[in-house]
Amino acid sequence: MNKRRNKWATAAVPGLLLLAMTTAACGGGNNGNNANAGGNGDKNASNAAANQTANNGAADAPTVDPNAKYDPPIEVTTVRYTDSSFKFKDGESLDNNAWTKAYESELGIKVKNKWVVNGEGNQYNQKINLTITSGDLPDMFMVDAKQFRDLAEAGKLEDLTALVDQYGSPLTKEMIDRGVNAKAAASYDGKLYAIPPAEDYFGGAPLLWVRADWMKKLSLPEPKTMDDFVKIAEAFTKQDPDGNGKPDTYGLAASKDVISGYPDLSGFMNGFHAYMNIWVKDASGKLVNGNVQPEMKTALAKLQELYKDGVIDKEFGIKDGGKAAELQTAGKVGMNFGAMWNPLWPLQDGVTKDPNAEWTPYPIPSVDGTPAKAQSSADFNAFWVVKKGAAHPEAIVKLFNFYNEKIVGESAEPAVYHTDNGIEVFKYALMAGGFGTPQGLLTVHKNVMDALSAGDAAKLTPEEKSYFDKIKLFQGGDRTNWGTNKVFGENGSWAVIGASYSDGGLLMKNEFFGPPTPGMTEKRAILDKLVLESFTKIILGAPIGDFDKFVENWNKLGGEQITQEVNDWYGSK
Amino acid sequence: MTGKRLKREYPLHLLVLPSFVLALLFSYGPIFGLVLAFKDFSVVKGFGRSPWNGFDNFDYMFQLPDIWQVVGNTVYISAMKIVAGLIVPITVALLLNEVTKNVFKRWVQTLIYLPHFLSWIILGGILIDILSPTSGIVNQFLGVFGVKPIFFLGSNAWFPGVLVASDVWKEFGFSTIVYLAALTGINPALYEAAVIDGATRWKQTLHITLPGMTPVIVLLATLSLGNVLNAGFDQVFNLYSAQVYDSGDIIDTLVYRLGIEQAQYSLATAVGLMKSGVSVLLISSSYYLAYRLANYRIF
Repeated sequence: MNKRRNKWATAAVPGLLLLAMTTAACGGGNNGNNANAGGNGDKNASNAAANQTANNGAADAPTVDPNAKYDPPIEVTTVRYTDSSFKFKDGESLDNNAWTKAYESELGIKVKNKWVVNGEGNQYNQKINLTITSGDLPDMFMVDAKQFRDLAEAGKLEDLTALVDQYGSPLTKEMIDRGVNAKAAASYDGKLYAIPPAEDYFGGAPLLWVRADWMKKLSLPEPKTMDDFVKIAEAFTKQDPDGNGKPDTYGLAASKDVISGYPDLSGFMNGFHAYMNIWVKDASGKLVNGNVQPEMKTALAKLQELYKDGVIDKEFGIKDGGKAAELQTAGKVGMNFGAMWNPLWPLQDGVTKDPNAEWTPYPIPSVDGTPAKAQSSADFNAFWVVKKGAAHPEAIVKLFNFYNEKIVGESAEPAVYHTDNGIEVFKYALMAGGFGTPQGLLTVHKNVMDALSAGDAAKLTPEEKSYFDKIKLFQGGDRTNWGTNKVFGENGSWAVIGASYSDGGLLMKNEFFGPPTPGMTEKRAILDKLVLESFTKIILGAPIGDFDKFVENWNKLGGEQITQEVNDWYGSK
Repeated sequence: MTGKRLKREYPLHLLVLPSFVLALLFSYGPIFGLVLAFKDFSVVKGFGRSPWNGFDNFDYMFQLPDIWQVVGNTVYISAMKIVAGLIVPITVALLLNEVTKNVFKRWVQTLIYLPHFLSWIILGGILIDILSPTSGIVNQFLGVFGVKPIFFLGSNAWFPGVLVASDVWKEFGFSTIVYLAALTGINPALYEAAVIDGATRWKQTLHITLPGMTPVIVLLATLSLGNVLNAGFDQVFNLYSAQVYDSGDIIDTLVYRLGIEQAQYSLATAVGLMKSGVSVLLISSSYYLAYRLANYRIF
């Protein structure tokens, strides 16, 4: 759903974006220079200040407690954004709330927001771009992968490696070290320049969703192999599973985006050990793009066969995810590949309408004896950084310690810092994005399941409690809460992910997680078009031999250059 | 004397001031942003310090593998839209002008004007449904006459036609109103004189109505020529798919994927500048032609 919303948002943004960029340009002439002059002066001053504190610190080092409260209190500047999901109690705001008060009273850190932008993430991103351009950076702020790389390259960030060592609590170090790839993404030249984002490879991994009631009605076996899958798909198409006497059902959902979160055909490819749009290691240890491997050809050939057999909607090539969802929630489609959140959208709509509808998730079936691995990318796009020359660079570590302590540590106070009377207080915290549970939603699932079997919700966080309550409602017969149960409850998404992808290790991670390479920035739009167009045409019936031509074109149009750059990045990681 | 006049008229100048400032700020100010087209822009370095790269952005644009196909699609689609967008509303305006029942006329005007207010995001969804080869109402209707289902949005032969037809359907009501307004400006005495001279309805249309509308027609035609490189981003973006890239990918959708999705602002600016340049050229030359051929001046 997010993906869809983003699409609309990005579709509307270009005009505004250009406008913003150009308006900035007109002010850029003289003012820019003046601002720079001022900026340099400030920087020198703050550098001197930093040196001074560093000297003092060195002298006192043996006696200083890394988590000591600042006395007198210090001020740290930052920038923030809110969106429609932020709710505040009367009189509270991002400038004044439980977190800011605690930062000041417990750590002696006054956090001052230089600006707060309203609107979704995109606007924050644009405003940060402008802030970076103007050179008037706050002490600490959040940037995306591209901005992070640019700033680190330009030497505008404070090295956090030693600071995390010196000031980080054990919990903080655990959080940072657990996400190996996230930590690598937050490093440059072997030094840590940001508090890395949380690492989540499970949330986007595809599962196979099957109409369990149809499967039972037609007495079909569970989809353990690709052959089973094809058998089920054909039966769903031809044996009238909805019993209306018309051949109007399909075995497999698909959309014109081929992979778009929902319906996500990459899961199908994974069954053939082919991986879409991600970089995997080949036999020689080099990184290669999954789109141009021979396994992809086999997978596409099978999809073409299924399309010809009527298993896939004849019109899938012009329908986006929303349109494909209409078909599926109308009870016309029996299977789809998609992520763990599919029960909430779109499946819930169909289940609410049809009292018999029931969906079951399965791990990706395999075409041969080797178990299939689900592909997964982690987007690392939220890096909290400290500007070079900030007076108290260590403050970011102390703030992060405090966050971890109050959310998952021994002294966690969920009622104060997580959710207060339905208001999500945790969003006000700095570095809140995605942290708080070391294994993310998998932990949530486990805690909820424990609480359900013990019949005791006392130990749950407010977020977990809300899922617990909804599952209880579902168990009481309320089908509008079916989705939550199917995500977190028994035999749900996370149960399968936990057993197969986490414990079973059946996950193929995207080996490339750096910022876009120059070749990607320049050529990716062309290559994406080539991939989408070629794959769509092959599925619709173009000769499968076209795949070889496609691979040749892909390499020629920039694929070869990008592969080289990706491997250079991999070598220098 | 001028001082005296200024003193007398200063409230009027004050009234103009806000729009003057706004135009300066939002229409003229951003023009300086065009330097981006000649720079290798990096957000970190900013406007001032990003290095100049001459015409590299333009070179890059014209070396894109599909660029000529995309330019061809754009010109083809927008040319058809311009022609159809002139003929259909003029015809409808003439026909409506002959209608004597005022209630009927107003209803028709309002109804055909309505789609103008719908966004392409909504219309995109509706069109996909009604043009569906399996369940769409259009193909079911054609099926009555034994026509095999046509995959309008998935076929390269039909896609540009669908774009033009749906665009005309959405916008002709709006243009019709402009032409109807022009018709009310024609002196009724001319018709009376013509009737006395024994002119039929058709002759009246040909010799009074059409010449009377010419200034507006020339004006709208001249202005629309400036849009020859705008084939309608909203519409195409909501209707196209990989299946019809061959006939439906236009400059704006390409630039959207290239410039905005991949954050290549310099390139997006370069394309925008090129499009504006071509528009200025076309508008000027059509203005000149209108002056020479129809002896018509806008300014």
